[in-house]
Amino acid sequence: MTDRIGLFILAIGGVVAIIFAALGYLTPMSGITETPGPLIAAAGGVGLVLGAGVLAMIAPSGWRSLLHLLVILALIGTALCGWFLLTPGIVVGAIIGVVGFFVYLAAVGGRHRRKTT
Amino acid sequence: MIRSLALVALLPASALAQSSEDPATSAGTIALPTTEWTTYNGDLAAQKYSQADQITRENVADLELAWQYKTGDISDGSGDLPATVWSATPLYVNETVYLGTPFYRIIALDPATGEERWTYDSESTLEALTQPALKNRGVTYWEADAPVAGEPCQKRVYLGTMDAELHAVDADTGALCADFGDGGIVNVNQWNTVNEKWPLSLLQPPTAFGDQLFVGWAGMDWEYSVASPGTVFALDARTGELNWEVDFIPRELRPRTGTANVWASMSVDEERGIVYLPVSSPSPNYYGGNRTDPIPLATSVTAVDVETGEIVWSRQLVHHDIWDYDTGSAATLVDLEIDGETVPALVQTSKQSMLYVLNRETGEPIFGMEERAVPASDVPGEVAAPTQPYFDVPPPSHDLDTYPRMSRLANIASLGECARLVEGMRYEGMYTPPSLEGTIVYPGTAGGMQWGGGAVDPTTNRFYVNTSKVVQTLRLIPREEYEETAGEGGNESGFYPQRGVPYGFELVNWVSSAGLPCWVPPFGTMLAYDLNTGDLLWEVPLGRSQKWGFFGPESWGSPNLGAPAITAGGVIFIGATMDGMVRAIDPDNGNVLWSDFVEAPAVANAAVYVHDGRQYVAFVAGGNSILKPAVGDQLAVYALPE
Repeated sequence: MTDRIGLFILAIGGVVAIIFAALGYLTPMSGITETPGPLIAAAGGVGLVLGAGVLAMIAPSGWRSLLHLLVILALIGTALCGWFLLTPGIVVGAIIGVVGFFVYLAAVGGRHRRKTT
Repeated sequence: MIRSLALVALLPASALAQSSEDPATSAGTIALPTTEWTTYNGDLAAQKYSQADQITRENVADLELAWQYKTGDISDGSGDLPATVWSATPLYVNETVYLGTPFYRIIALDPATGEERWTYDSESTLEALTQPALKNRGVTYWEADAPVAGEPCQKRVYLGTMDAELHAVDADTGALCADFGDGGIVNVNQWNTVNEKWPLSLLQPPTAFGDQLFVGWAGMDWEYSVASPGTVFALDARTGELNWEVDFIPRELRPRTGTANVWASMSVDEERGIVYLPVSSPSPNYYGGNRTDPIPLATSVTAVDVETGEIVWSRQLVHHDIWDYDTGSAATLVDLEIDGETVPALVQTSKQSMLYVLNRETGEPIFGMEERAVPASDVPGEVAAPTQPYFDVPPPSHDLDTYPRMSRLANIASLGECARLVEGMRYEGMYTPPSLEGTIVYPGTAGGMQWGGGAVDPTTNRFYVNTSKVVQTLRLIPREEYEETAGEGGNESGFYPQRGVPYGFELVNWVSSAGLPCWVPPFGTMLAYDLNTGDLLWEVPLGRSQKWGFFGPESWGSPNLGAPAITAGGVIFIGATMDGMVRAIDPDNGNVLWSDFVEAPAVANAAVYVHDGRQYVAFVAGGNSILKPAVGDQLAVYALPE
């Protein structure tokens, strides 16, 4: 159950990043209005939401490890986008995602340890 | 007539209270700065200094948008109209804010609210007849010395257009002044009688002094080898009649060359009756084989008697200019204190990044200069000047002997393209001539200090100026090869024809195909100088570069256009950077005290004024494609909370 909570937080982080990226893109005089940067950040946020959803659905396998890697890349990419877009909200979204991902990893790791001991 | 006393008479009592401190000038020969902003450069001395002291280092962080105005005169070039480049510094005078727009309209606004008072539409053609974009750098204000009560046009606003028309309207109503030219309009192109290839575009507002307007103009750069000679016209401010004209190309050379025009703003020593003209380079800009005879007035700062048009003195800043190092800003007039003596001086900023500090009575260098040997040209037909003048004090903003080293990161990211782009090219210091194999140009025509010039605090004689550090590459291309490879040429491709000489050329920034700059930052900085000693006090990166919305680190700075303004409150205001931010800067150390985003890069000079006891800082956010494609039509005016 905890892993689901972690993935939910990860998805929330993605949504936060998407919202702030959209605000930056659409708000006049945000400094990044109608530039590609916030769209890239939003894509990162979408990646986090999709990653959380797929991880919640698939069983443990090699694909899950690949997904972990992709989620980590999306987290890093989203955070970097937020940093260089001077949009703290996107960075906060990425940080929320990191927290969620750690909660998820801890839960999955704990279950794995219980099974192997 | 714009004289300081007349301006003081116009000020409301509350504003006078604001400006009641001691006059700022140290020698009393320059008109006192006021809390108005009467010209493109603040005043005729081009000091960009305001007596306003309400906004200080301590409270500037509280600055907020008091009002904004959108002109609607905007185009990104994607439709039928060319793109707009709006660099108009607003004027505050006659208790009104006046704006010129790139659609060649005048807008008069309430200074406290931004409410429209009147507008005037010149109905000018909106075609890029000479420049690649619709450009405007503002309007000119003039008022009669002894206004006749009840008579219209005792106060006037003038607007120039791309198609060479100068419009005069009543400053209170916006109605055309019927006694000026033909029903309020003078067609300046009537005097464009030599080598006419395009109209004399009036993009920079004329300079008004006495009952005269000094009118320079812009042409079509890099297109023709024989362009119109760069005549400056002095017009009667009331009638539009031509009083005198002065030009800078020897008559016998007119069949072979042209321009050396004055496309930037001018400054005036009101006491001495001298107008200082920043004269640009002759045509064509990057090859001089057709004009090897001396043209001593080209690429110069030239002092002209306002009454007669006679040249008082002239100092050439670049001999046989083959780098397009136009003198591109009004000289700032200031009285220096040197060895206990007051010296009437001017400071001429330049694309070549040197500050030329001259005695403004004689044109002699105040801190000395040296003629140094420079590299010879290896292009058939070209004869580069054997020496060029170097002004080492104050120190230039760029290293003149070398260009910034290549960024390893950029070279790796571009898979070695950065290195390949400059492979085999010449560089032997700033004055390396253009060549067939390619020449690295640093500072280039887009680099150094641009048309805004600098600002001086006359209470301290500290001078503040922004500069761009952009590396470019230039390659002369034999005509036959040029016709095969360049196609139509133009701004986007970097090819330009220089029709009439054996070479076209390609001029581009040293960036990779992905748009990554190939040299190490900073890309732009701000500097402070002590003009009494010639010392550099500080230099800091200015602004942030931006690509696809992503901002570069602060330490990289940004290429910049537009100038600072400095106030008695001890704050520098500047836009200028490609990040679309406007900033307040601490004059003691360059630290940013406040910033805000505006609609597009604010490439106009900032304007500062006091109205009804409240200080305002105005930025025109119009953008310029030299920095990035974003365009704007916003006038953003800031003040402290009421």
